[in-house]
Amino acid sequence: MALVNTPTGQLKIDYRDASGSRGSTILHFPYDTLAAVVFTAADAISASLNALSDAAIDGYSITYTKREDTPATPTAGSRVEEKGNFVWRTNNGRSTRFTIPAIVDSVLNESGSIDKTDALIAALVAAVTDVDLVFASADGSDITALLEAYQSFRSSTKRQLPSDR
Amino acid sequence: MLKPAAIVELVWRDASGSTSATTVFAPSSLAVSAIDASATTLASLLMPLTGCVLVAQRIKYVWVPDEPVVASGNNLLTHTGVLFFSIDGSVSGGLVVIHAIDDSVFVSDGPGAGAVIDLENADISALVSAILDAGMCNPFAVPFLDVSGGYLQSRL
Repeated sequence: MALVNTPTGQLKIDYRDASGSRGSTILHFPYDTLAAVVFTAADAISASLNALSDAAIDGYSITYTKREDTPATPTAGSRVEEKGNFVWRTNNGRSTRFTIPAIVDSVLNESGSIDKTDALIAALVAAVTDVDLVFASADGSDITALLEAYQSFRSSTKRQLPSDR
Repeated sequence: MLKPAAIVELVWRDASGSTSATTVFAPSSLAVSAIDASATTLASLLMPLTGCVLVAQRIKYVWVPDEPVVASGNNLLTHTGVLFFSIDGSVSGGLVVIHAIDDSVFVSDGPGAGAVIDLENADISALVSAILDAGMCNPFAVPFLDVSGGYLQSRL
């Protein structure tokens, strides 16, 4: 079992036309191309597209994707709607969060809070707040501490409802 | 301008087949290899905490305009031009779409008037050069060799 990269990364250039409708042009590049190189190319391609299109280019993104080549079997009864929520303090005084779907019951307290003394949770906190991992908030601020950790449930989407109902 | 943080998504699948992502952020100044290394470590820490299995990982850098942008003309997105690119062994191994394409890029006479893209048009040539110089390819990583044709498609 391993995450294997797709053959290419994807450059997606987004448009907005005079009516406000949105669309995109998608191009592909060899996966091992550095993001900085792709951005330089994207600037040139966007400039050329701007000259050819009545729509306005209002952004672009570069995505590198990996997929598991032999996925394992999920735990029976696991549901992504059951979330472990982790709220973190950042070094600019704000907060950021992420969720873990189908959080395991073994790390939960009776109240639904997550046991911060659990060894697995402690290891996660240490890694996220330490300098070894590069993760930050959406504005680029370092994550400094865990504020809250708790279980919650999201509504199932229509696609998540059982197909044999 | 480049957003300060790249988006990292770890995609999980539960027993019902539904998927959900853990979304974190990493400084966009970092190379994808550096972010990927941290993502691998994070995934290993999260795996014992979830009943799901990891099925995918995405790292996404995002650029946004630094001021509001305004459409320059009235053609809508459905007015779409398609450029076909040749690859080794095929004259149409990849394509690039141009939404709300300007009408000045079409040939003006002959049976293709108003529908066939003039490959000699300076703006078309500039775009083709930018795509080829960047080493763009089709989704299977087969590099584009040259533009082979293009025309107007009607999109609904």
